[in-house]
Amino acid sequence: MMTAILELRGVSRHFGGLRAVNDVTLSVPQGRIMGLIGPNGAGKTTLVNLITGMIKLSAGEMWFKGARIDGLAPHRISRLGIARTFQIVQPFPEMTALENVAAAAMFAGNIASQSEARDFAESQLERVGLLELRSTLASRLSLGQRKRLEFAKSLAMKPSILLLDEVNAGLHGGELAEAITLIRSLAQDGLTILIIEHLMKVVVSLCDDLAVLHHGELIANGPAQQVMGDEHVIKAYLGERYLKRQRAG
Amino acid sequence: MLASLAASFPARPLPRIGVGVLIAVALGLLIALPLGLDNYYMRLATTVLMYCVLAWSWNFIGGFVGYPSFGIAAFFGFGAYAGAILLSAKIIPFWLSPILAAAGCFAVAVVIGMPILRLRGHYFAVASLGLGEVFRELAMSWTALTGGGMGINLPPMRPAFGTEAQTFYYAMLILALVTLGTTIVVARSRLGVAFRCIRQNEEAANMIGIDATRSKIIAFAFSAALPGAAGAIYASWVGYIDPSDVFDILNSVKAPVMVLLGGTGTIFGPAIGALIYLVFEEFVTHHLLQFHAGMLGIIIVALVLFMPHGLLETLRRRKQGQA
Ligand SMILES: Nc1ncnc2c1ncn2[C@@H]1O[C@H](COP(=O)(O)OP(=O)(O)O)[C@@H](O)[C@H]1O
Ligand SMILES: [Mg+2]
Repeated sequence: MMTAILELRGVSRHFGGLRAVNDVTLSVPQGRIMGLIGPNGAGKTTLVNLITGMIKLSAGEMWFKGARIDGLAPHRISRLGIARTFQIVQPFPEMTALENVAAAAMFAGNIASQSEARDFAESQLERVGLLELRSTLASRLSLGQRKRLEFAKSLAMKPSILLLDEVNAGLHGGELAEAITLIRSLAQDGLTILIIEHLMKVVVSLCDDLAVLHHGELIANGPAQQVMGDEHVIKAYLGERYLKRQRAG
Repeated sequence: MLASLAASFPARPLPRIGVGVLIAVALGLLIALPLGLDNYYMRLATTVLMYCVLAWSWNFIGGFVGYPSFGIAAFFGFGAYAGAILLSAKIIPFWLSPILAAAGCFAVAVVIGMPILRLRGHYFAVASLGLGEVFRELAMSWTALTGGGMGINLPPMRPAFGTEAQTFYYAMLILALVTLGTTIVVARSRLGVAFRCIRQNEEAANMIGIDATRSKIIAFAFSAALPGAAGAIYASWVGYIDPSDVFDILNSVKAPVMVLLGGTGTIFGPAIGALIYLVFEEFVTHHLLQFHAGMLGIIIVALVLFMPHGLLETLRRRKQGQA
């Protein structure tokens, strides 16, 4: 059995009568790329919000590196080494790209000196190919650039696990290919990645493991090849999408 | 390129020596000022300094962090009463009163900040507005300590040197410099970065490891302690305080208006705003006594319509547009 870096045990979150996430038990193995897939409204973003402490659990426990993290404030969780990107990117619009990333390095990345934080931020901007735009205000960046900024911000937090919520949505050919290369290189550096992704070709090319959410419930979980052959999964999710895409492609 | 000035205090490459000379000259003028002023202008100058303190103080929570506070009057009044009570009990010297008042206001703001800073935007604004009213009621009804509606007379101060007017002028000047110094240090520190992040997106700030609640409480405490000190000096200066004077809700409105006038989040904007406002006010009260509150209203409307970013930012944009 592989060591799990993140473990969810019976995690639920209800919104009124809606069970957005329902009794999910899931282990995210260390140092691998896990895909989290499922149709719109399945509860994927809610699950990321739960892990990062942005919203509270209705029931269940969460463990990260052997310590319990449910109930911790978001800033504490992020300092432990859990970083996320937002489905709708959330830069600090009135700050430059560099200032955005340096802020992440300073706080979650725990770099006390501001000039060191800037140096570290520059290296992260370079990693995502945004160094040239370091003095540009975040609000002036294009969508693709903002997504890369979001990436650099997360990396500056020196995370052990990166939660990517549809980072690739809205990216075009070249940008998409670059993003995939970047994610793969991060995993090679030992970062654990949980990626929410709609494009099956990205999922197939990146993920070692897959977890499938449907109406808030985890209906399948395991090595990617095995999950994609699972009947329930094909019926609930892959079926229409996967086949449609394969036919179209 | 330059667009982040108002928000972000970029360390702009100003010629070092030029700035040094400018600061020395300004400081020299401020120190020498009392020699050339009669009583009327001394009072005006001291008032301007006091409102600079209030405007700069508001800027911590309202400008940097972006939480619109109407709590200035609450802490100004609290500090005034703290100073007045301690001084009339004759247990401390004058110079200690603003320091103790500031410490008291800081502590009170931390305790009150914990619940009300969980509220966002408008709710926080209303809660902070209520604070002044609660304190005022307290001062009204706790007669044994505060003298209730009768107010408190302070013992006359015997200055060690110079005149009384000069003593209060210099006391306000020192406090204003302390406030300015705090502003500059905070703006450049990690805390300042945290403030800016929270203002732009509190959730995202939490996500990058910023303890937003703690940062907001610190900002609120700065916004309380410094007006508290100003209140204490004010109490000694005027010699008599009562609840409706020192908890005057207008102060809670004037401070943010001054900051908006000069420029939110800038270092010198609040002081420039205070100066412009008070000079206007002085001019108008001389000629149209009844028009006081009306003027505040007109300034607010004019600000919203013509200079939503404040004077400094408007001038900068105009200059940038020409360049
Ligand atoms: N804050 C919220 N309040 C109420 N309902 C919510 C909230 N967040 C998400 N939901 C609901 O929970 C369900 C799951 O949403 P989400 O996690 O965003 O799905 P996904 O990311 O898989 O598309 C949806 O039905 C959504 O409307
Ligand atoms: Mg989603």
